[in-house]
Amino acid sequence: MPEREQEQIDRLLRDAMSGPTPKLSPDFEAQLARRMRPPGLTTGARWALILYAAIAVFVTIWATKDVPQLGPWIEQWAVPAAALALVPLSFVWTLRRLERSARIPR
Amino acid sequence: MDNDTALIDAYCQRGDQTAFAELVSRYRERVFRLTVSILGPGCAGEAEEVTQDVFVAVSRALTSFRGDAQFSSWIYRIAFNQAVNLKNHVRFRATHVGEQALAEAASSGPGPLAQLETARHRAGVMQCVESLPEIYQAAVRLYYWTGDSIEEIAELLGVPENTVKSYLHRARGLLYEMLEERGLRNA
Repeated sequence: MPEREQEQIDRLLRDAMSGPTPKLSPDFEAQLARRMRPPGLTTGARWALILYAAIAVFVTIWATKDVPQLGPWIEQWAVPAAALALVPLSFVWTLRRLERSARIPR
Repeated sequence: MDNDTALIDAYCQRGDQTAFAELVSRYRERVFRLTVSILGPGCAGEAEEVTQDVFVAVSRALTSFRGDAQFSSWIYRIAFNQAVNLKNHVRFRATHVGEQALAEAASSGPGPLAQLETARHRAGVMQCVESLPEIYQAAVRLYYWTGDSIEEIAELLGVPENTVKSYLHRARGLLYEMLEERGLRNA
């Protein structure tokens, strides 16, 4: 294309695109920080987990109260209670990891 | 911490959030300009979302960044791909003579009809730009709209400066033909 036509299109483009250019919104970084923060548990879910852990501990104590003392008390009931309490916590942790990886934009 | 590598190491090895914030601060404007140049005028909101997606993706994938290429080339490539993907999946609203343009045309300035004609003419040119191949569109918008230099465009698109000049030359040639077909060239 001849130089004159190039210049003509150049002028047309400059004129057509002379408007204001968009800018990032001022709270861009705050929004990004919110998106990058790992999702927290809801209050209800947090209370349900605490309740489950408490019940697990009490049920373990109650279920093992008549078992003859075979060793130190910590092995008797504290370890099984802790295991019971940790199961839902590890479940939630895994779920959050999966959610997080699913949200990575492709 | 002057260079990107130091910031990347600080974030990957120590989880230093201020290092990542510094990377965001360094690249957010350029990534946004690139995405908005691909998505086009009227899509600033979408471009901002894509810009956020880019940084979220970068934060997750930064540990796998091996440093074979420059960090800037890597992030611009991610931005380019994400913007093009979004554009291919979503049908964007067509450029048209907006209410603002019509309001301006109806204002008490000299020759409202002439102003309306100018607005229509501009919209026609923008539609022709929309018809160009993606890479030409990006080059044209970065050069004429966001005012980037050839050197900056070359960095954003990851091509040599001569290639950018060639993109612009070919884009102008295609636009000349399109505008002539529509009778807009001499308007």
